Amino acid sequence: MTEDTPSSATTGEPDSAGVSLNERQASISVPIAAPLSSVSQVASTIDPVVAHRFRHCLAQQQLHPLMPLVLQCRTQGAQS
Amino acid sequence: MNTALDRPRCIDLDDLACRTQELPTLPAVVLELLQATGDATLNLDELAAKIRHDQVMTARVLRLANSSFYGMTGQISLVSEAITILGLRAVRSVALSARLMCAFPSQAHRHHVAFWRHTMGTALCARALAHRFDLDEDEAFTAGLLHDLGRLCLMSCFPGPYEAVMDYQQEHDCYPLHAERAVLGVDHQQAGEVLARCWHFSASMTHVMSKHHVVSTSELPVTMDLVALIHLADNVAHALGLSGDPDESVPPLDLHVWMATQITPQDAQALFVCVERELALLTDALAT
Repeated sequence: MTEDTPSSATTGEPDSAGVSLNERQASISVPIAAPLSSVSQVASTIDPVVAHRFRHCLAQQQLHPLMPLVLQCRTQGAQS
Repeated sequence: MNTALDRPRCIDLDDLACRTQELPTLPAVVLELLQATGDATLNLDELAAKIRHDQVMTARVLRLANSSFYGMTGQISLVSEAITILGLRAVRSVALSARLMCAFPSQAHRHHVAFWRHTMGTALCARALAHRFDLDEDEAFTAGLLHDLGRLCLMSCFPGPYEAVMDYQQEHDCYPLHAERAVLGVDHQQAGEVLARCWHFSASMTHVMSKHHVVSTSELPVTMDLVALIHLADNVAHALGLSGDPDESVPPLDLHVWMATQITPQDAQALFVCVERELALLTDALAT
């Protein structure tokens, strides 16, 4: 079981162990243990349209590996 | 909204095969372009000759070549010139997309535009990813273009029941595949396989049309073959919301396929930007 905090799950920032979600994506092969409602909330705050697109995976307690990448892309696009 | 009581009866594969036979056949030029997929010997003159004989293809190719993006606005009047500007691969992609879109009437379903935007997005994404995995880029683009034709087949052969599928999907907020199975008893992968056999598509295209949601993981690690590539490209196209449908939903991604890609965040950013830019150009060229 892989544990994700909302911050690392949605921003790609390193967690307390210094490992970002992006670096850990390859190891995610089972439902994640973090409260998905938190992940979903943070994702919705960053980009509600993107979060809505991943609603089915989140509802099934799955973190889709493309979600943080798309959120990151949208965030960078908005900043540039 | 359809309720359980007025929902249409399930369709069996024999019904589907019979109705598919009644669909108009694809124009010869489409079949020629499909057969030429991956043909490294296809040259500029041969491709130009195929396209020149088709008004729809010619118009769309010239529109793209004359778009402001290429800085040649109004200067390109020959298909051969367009090929020089755009390249063989891009011209073939535009021509094939244009003709396939015409093969199915736009009034067949309410999500016609979203369907083709998703399909072209998947094709462009597949082509961009193919290079990374040493797969044929033309074949990848074509597979992306064809992967969901089973949906169009169901929509064209059973327009009324397919309306009920879309109502069911909206009502239950589920994936199209699940709505098709619940309402029709068959899904677009099965329909795709029937259509591919009816139209004599290659074995690899038939495989993509019938298996793109379920990648076999019997052998690990997964080898990035054409089906796995389209599975990934379809996911990326949905993740980027390329169809433009506000209720688009990203289907599950086979994590063995994902692990096999080893895409870095930087690769992903570059891919997303490239696909979105190319889709804007392609849809502009194909707009009617």
